[in-house]
Amino acid sequence: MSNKILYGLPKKVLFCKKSLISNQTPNSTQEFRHTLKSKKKTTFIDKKGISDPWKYSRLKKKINWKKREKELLKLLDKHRGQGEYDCIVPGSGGKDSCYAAHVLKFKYGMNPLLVTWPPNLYTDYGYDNFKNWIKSGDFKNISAKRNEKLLKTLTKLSIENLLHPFQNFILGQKAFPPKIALKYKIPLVFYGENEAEHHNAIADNQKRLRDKSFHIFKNLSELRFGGLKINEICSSYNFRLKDFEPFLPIEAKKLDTFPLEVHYLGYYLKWIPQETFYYAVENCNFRPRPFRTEGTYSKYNSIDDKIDDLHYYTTFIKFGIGRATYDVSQELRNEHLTIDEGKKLIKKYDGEFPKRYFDEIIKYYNIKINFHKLCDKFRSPHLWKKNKKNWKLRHTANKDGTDD
Amino acid sequence: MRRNRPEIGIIDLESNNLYSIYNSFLISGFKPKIISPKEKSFKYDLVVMPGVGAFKTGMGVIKKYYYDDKIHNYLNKPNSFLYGICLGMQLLFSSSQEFGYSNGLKLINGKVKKFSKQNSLKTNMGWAKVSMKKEELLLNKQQFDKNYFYFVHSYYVSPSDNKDIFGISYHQDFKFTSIIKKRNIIGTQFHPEKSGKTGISFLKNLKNSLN
Amino acid sequence: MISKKPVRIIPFLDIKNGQLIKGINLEGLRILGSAKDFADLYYKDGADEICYLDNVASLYGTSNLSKFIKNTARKIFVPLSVAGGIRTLKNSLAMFKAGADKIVINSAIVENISFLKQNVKKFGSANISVLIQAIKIGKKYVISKSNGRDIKDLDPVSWAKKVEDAGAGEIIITSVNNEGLRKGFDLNITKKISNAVSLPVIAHGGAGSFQDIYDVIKKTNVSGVGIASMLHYDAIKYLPKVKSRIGNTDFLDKVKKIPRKKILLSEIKKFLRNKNILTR
Repeated sequence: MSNKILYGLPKKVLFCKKSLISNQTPNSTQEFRHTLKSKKKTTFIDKKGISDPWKYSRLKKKINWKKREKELLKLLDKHRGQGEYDCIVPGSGGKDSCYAAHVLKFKYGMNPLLVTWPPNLYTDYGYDNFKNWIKSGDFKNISAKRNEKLLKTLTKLSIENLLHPFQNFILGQKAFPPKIALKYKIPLVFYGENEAEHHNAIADNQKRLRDKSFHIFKNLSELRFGGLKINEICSSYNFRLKDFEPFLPIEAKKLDTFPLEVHYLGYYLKWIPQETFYYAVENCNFRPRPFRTEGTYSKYNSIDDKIDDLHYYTTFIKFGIGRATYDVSQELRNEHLTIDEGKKLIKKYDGEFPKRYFDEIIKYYNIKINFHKLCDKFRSPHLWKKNKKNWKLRHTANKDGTDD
Repeated sequence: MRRNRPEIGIIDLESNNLYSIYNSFLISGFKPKIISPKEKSFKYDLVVMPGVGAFKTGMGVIKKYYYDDKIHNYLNKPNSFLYGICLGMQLLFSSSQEFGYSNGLKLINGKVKKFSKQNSLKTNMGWAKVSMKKEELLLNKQQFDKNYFYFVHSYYVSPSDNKDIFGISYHQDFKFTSIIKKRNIIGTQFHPEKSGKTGISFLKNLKNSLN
Repeated sequence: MISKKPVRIIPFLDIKNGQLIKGINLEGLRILGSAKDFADLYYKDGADEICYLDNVASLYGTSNLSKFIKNTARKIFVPLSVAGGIRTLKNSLAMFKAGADKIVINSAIVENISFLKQNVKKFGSANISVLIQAIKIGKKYVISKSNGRDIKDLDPVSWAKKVEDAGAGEIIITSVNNEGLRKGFDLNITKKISNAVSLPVIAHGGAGSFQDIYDVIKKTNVSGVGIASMLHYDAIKYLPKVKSRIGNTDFLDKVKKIPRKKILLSEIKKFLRNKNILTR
């Protein structure tokens, strides 16, 4: 008897021998088209047990960074000094956007405009980091103003329908800055690392530019929020299309006449996440969280949104991989940890329930249904087994799952 | 006539760092050896008893391996010399206040007492100078007056006989005995193996005085 | 009158697998070189004590420093303190046997204060130091364990008193918020804790300039100052680089080595002496 498989995930569960990421890890999704029926494209692990991200990390070691930097300088020379601001750095004051903005201004002489899709619920220290980010270069910042009721509703829907608390943040973060670029006629946008490095195929990694599909659309009817169409949400919850404006990507045809380029700075500059942390502290007054992030061992990754911790918990529920696995996998690829250490950290922290902000989130979003019961609906049977009252993973990186 | 490299036996009281002791004596020109409990008698130019920790525990180990008898027998031999360091010095005394009341080796008359809160901080920890008596059997006074030795203890010795007091130090404003000397027994409250270059010099002087 | 004690200048070394690492706010594992090289250098330069911290002991449930101490105890003749991963009396004994003069405990006693009492009973008060990692969140101070990873809602000052009552011989106060930034100590919490106890106290976290070190000595009751980043980022320029397969050596790879002109440790002591602070 075989177990049912959700999300179109691969039937057999495999872990990368070198970086411990599993083949159930979803690739970057175009969130606007994300529904419950969406089949996930996931990380590929070959017959020898080696994942694409690991292979890419080996290729990355051979990159000629001097050459890449020359490419960057050439690109920047074309844009430097144009208009009031010559490039856009999206972010919310995390270590990566701190590094990007600061290095572009102070090392490369650019004049970036900082563009923010604000977190759902700012943490105190996250907000301090945000303010310090802006101060660090006397930057100007444009933060999206959204209908707060709609924002709340969309998040509630994405939680209840997709078990995906972070959906609106992900889509807004990718769509809003390009829109501002178009509005203010700034054709150059710099994101930090290509997120594809962490789970996608090698080909996806070798790109300088982000795929357009993340920030454009052709018809409103193709868009989904929390799994629902815009007109459905408007009629059920009493909103107008106008309220959706900040959330929408760019209409495809508008880019026909505007040469928007969305680059990954991580293509041009060697990105070592831990070193961007040090850089951000030393140059932008960035501070890590005062305590360990629940679900992992680190204190400086994605700490500005209270909902972020819950988001990683839901990836644990849906795909069997928690935040510790993501962090460990990255550090293994960067050769900062040994495999043994990685396994121990995953065993210790993966799947830890994010208690700290949970009650506040449930209250704020008025989630009436029992969250844990909701989670159970999203556990793919091929990943989870119920032992009496407890759910256990069938397969883990430590080979201590119920079916290992 | 003593050898060029005096042989030292180090008594292991089983709770302290012997590496530093061993290495500091080695570097000072001695030939150190850790005494095995199986040795029935001591055949050394100098026996060192370094100690760290609780009085009762230290006495427990001494009794366990009959070190009290072995030490007494050793001291009756000619050319024997005993050096107690820190707790090792305190154990030479009659008794201690620590954790109730315990008996010591009774080689030196006097008691071991606790620093009280009224006089000073409960623990004397850190570097302090030692002021020594004029009879320079061991040391060149000029050389050591300016230098610091390392102390770490919550109890201090209180010799009954002033003649046994060889050096004094201060813990804040409280004066206490930091070196005792009685015939062929010497004790220092400070740790020569933790007193940097000054401590090594002290040991070198000790070696020279044995000849 | 020989009653005043010189202030103790104590290099603090965070160690992982024998390598010196340095973070900020107790986060980040940047490798700066071979820990032994730094320890030997600081002893030669006149350090009054040296403190080793096993940064990841609580993370991995290990207690790995005994091998390292054994190696360094051979040539270093000033007191060595060891912190990190001391959870059982067996751990404590192993550390002493390996060459530690003082053991420093935090996490295990936050979880169970009787562990402190057990250690004091067995080894004596003077050899047991308690590390208090104070974190300021908003306007409130709490304590942390597992090297800054997990916090406990306890006021550091009352915790310090509890720990004193339980027999601790010394207290080390680390200001987690200031640690690694080289912008000065947290004088506020350091003063509050050192005033609340009758034990020797070491201030740690934030030393960046000579003035910072002077300020913390003058304005609080501390008898010792723990210094890390300030010394390490200086010494790194003169010490040999290490080849490491695993670990964050990105920074180290970029450091340019230069010939040594001044000894930072003695400059610190000279500065203090000129301001009438007694040093060894």
